[in-house]
Amino acid sequence: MDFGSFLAAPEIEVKVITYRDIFQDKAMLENRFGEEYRDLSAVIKLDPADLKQLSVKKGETVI
Amino acid sequence: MCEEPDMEKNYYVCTGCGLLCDDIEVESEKNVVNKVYTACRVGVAHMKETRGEVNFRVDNKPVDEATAIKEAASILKNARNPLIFGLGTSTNETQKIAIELAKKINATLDDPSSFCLGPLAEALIQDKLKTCTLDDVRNKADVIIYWGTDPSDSHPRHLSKHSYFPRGSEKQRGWEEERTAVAIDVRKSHTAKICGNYFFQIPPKGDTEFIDALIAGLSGKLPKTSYNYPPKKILELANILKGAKFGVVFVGRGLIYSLENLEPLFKLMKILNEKANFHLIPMVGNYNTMGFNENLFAETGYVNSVKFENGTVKHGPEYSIVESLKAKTVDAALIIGSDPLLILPRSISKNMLEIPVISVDNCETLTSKHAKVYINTAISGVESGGSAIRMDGVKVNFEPVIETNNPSDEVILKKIMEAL
Repeated sequence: MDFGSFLAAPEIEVKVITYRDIFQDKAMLENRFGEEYRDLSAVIKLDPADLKQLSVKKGETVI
Repeated sequence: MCEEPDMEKNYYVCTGCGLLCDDIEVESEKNVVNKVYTACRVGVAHMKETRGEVNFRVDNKPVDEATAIKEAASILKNARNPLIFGLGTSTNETQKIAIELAKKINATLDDPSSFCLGPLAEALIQDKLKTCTLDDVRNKADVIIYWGTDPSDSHPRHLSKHSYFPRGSEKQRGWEEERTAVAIDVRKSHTAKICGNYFFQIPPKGDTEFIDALIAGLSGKLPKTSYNYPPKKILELANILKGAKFGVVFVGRGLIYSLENLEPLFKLMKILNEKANFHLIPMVGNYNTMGFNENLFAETGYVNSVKFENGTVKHGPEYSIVESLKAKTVDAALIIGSDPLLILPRSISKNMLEIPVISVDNCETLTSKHAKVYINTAISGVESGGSAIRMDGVKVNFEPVIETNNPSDEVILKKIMEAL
């Protein structure tokens, strides 16, 4: 079932490119169950134009 | 009274990544590392990795070492087709014991290179690609390409110690005048930012076409791509590459994951060496993945994904960790210094939860938390010594920085062998 068809907000297709950075690697070595590693591993950056198209506001759930 | 300055300094090797930096100074007291000099952010974290007490568990209950070893041996003995996986952060000596162990118990043996840079390591070991050492790069390289890799983050001292910023014996004017750094990637990484105007951003999976276009540009033809990359920019890149007296291509997973096979890369290296002088070095992540590939190749003729069976060896993708877990062909797993539950997709790694797992690791991981047997070992390169193969194929020996009560993975594997 196309669940998206029931959503009122507009949808966009995104390609997620994953990568690590030095801060995430350091946090993982220090504690892979720590808050710092979790915070650095759970971020998706979006282009400002795409964010505008989604018309989401700060604090809203997007997925 | 002033103390005489200590002119004799002890330099240690950092085993935090495939660079194996050998100029690290450490201050330690009572077998705790207090200060680390010269290393990068990741290296410092690696050498100061927080340690718990010596820790052996069976079914999540603390046990002594002998009980853990006995249980591990019993799991391996009773398995029809056990998997041995990991070893990228183990010494050559440990890897050779693991190969012997795999032979003894007719195991499937694999390491992370089967889903990382394995094909490239195999081609280099078989002399199918021209390579050089990082010392050659520092002393001679004038054109450096970072393709699908971001060493500023993954191998933080790569640019400063070896590839771009240093003044080498034949490159005294350094990066300002004598070196050109090029980045080809799907995103503007920190390394790409350093490369400035020589950053070529391509779409995901666009590498093969970019290679074809670059080969066309190098051959004096008009470079074309379906994603309309400006031909002028590709021709500009081709001209830089043609002028290289000592060029190096550093290849990362970004490029390898994008290619169906290595043929486009072979073609590119061939034409680059017809027009100029180019070498290739893989951007190996773990400190001794190259060692595993070399050691297994010396023993079997393959770099990963093997299955031992009564003195014979089989090889193929079906013996990789990904395919053997997918097909559920392995019925026990000995994981050494790796965390498949973290690094593999859940749809594949979840099958590991259905079989008994022995985790041999220096720290608690998702895999160790779900293992039937957990054996906490010394940190290889910090608390135990040995030798390893650097990402460019150079052998590096290292001594432990501090002493520990934790056994090394080498000792643990020997004891498991004896218990069998």
